[in-house]
Amino acid sequence: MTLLPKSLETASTKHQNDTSTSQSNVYGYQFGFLDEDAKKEIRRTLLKAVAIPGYQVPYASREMPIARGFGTGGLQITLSIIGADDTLKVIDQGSDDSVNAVNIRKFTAETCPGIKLTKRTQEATLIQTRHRIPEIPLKERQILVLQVPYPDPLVVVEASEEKRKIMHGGGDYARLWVKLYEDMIKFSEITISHRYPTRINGSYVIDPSPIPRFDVPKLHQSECLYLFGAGREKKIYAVPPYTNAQPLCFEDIPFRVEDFTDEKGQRRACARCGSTTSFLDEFLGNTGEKVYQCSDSDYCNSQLALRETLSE
Amino acid sequence: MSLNIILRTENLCKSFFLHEQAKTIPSAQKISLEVHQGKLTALTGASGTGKSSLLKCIYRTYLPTEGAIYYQTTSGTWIDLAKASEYDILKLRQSEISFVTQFLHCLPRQSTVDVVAKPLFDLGIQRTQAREKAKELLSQISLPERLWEISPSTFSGGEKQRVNLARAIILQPRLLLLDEPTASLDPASTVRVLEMVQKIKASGTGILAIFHDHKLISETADTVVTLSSAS
Amino acid sequence: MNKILEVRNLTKIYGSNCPQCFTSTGPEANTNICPYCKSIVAAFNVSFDLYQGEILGIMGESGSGKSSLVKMLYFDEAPTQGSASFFEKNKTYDLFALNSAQAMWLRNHRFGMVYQNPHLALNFQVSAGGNIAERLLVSDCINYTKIRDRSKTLLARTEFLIERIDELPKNFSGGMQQRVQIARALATEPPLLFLDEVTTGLDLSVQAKILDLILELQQQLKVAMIVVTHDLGVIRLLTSRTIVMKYGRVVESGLTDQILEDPQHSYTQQLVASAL
Repeated sequence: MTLLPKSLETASTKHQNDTSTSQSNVYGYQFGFLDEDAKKEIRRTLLKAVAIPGYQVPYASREMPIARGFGTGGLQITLSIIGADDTLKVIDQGSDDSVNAVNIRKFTAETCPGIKLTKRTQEATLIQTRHRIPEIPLKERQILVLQVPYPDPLVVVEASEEKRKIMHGGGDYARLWVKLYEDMIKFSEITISHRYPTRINGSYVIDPSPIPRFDVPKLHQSECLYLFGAGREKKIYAVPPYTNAQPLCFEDIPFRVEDFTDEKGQRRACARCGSTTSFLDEFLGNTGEKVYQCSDSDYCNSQLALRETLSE
Repeated sequence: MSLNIILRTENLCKSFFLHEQAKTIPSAQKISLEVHQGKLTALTGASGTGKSSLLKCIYRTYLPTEGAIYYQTTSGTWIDLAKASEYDILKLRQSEISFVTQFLHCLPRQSTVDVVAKPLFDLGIQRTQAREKAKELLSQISLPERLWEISPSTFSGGEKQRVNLARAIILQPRLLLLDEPTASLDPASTVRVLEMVQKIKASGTGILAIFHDHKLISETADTVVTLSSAS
Repeated sequence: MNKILEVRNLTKIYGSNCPQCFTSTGPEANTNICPYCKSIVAAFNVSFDLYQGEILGIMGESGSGKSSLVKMLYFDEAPTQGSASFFEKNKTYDLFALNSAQAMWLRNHRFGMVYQNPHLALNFQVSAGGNIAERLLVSDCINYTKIRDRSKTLLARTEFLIERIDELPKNFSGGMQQRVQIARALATEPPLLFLDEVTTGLDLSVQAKILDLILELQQQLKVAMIVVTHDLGVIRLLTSRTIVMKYGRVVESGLTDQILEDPQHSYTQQLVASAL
């Protein structure tokens, strides 16, 4: 590698030189844990995914020090694109403090020395998330990496991957539509609550990962880049900025999101910060009563701070 | 008295080859005859001389073995039915050439009106209109109205034959082939059927008919062709 | 009347295929299995035309190749040799030169198929109405109410009890399953319909009703049909022209009444003589 003239030094060799001179991490891994070839493959896959919005690009998903099903796909993307100047936020179900988020954040910090960590959405350049999109709309130059269990929306109607690929290729989503039709005749509404099939750029239909319906509209014409990684299923896909994302719904039955209204028809508010526009988690309080609180902890904190400032 | 020839057969021959028995059974032999517009040509002869076979060859239910069958269509062109394509024959059957035997063959479970109107349905004529025409025709031939909406399978022989003829003529065919249409009828029904035949002749249809009864022939035929085995 | 389908020299061989395959199989050889390479010559050099709105019968016993023929035309199987052209208005489609997306489009929008076995066409996990909706949902206008109304109209036309529209097909009798199949096949108003032994195995009275239904639909919609059957009665009732197949070859073709009353080929004579 040192035979290359300096002008042809690639980013990868630069990085390697960096680790050898700047602080290497405790375990002697190179920056980003994955070797450069693995990162290169993933980056190439990401480029393809961005070039063909919604298309599931297969890739060789590497062994990670966490088990499959705990976010290895998202983690591989994060590690492949993170640089020493990035600011990382990691959330799980909207919270920075859940076990998985904490573990992933720590691991990334240890293998990527020099990166900044934050809990503030607006400060992050790279956010890895499980099952939620932050409340505050993301801006250009921010990247959201989502952890995906099942990348293919057709898996509910067709078991054979070969047939599913042909269906995607031919834009044949009839059987998915039939599932929606059957829901309508049985329950008079579409019962899919999360992983709502969404058509990207008028073309491929994706499974947007187990984000609630509430979050699906955030994919549409967003300023930021969404990257989806499925480690166990070995697929990567993307929704580029300013891209159309339409949840599949019948033209005469509008797409509904969770409305959080109580028995009296009033929109519930977060018990902590009072917001009436955020996605609420429901849990049982100390005395057994139902408590509703913002799922996005950073959003809740900032709303609370705002409330306190205003009340002073 | 215009002698407009609409059909002319030339040395028409029909024989059957049975593969199983490896035998040839000769039927019609070298038949040449003519049918004119508005006139009835009667075919007579002993059984086995090929009268029915001749009619069936013209209608293409049988494939002629030899000879030609020249037919002039409504548009004036001449066509050799023996060599015509299946497609052309089907078109002619739909609009110009009708065949009536002594039995009514119709689609089961159809009302009489629908049986008679079927040739019009096949031409794409709107159903209500077609049924109106069928009803008109049925009243013209004095078929009681109470029979119109039920299937003709339960009718008497005479009634069935009148329905049979009605269906054949609803399109006002250019050529009508009759194969012993009154063979199984009583005298009263025969008279009624013959009345219809006379009307059909008067409307300009050319008829080639096989009658078993000489009296019928003398009443209706303008020309008589007798087939013999050594014809 | 215009031509809607032109089939030329259509051939299907299952197996390795050797130079003696064609000469050592067929009606004279009394087999469709090549004695040299053991390939099955399911169909060989089959040619015919079909016109708009007409019903063509394909008559044959097992091994005749009649089902293989229809499978190839419906893109269920690829031919070994031969061509087929589908015509509509001013367009011609060379069926076996189309790519799979084009072939699927044609299959979904211009053809309909009714199989003997409803499991081949119907999705048994989905309601009767859902099976029909599936065909309607291939297009882009996705309006739930319209789709439901159209499903109901189609099922009503096949005299299916509308109250059962949301039930699963496994609860239906054979005749009802066939009705759902027919309604589904006609959902996109195709100009060409394939019917493969659709009444075989049904009770006589049900058979009669289904055949009546097919005739009525043909009259109202002017759909061209290819009816594959081994039953002479069905041929007589439905078709205006027929081709007779034996061991993959066409042995005779002509007007249906001529085939039945003046059969020329020895096999056809045998078939007609065997009718009950």
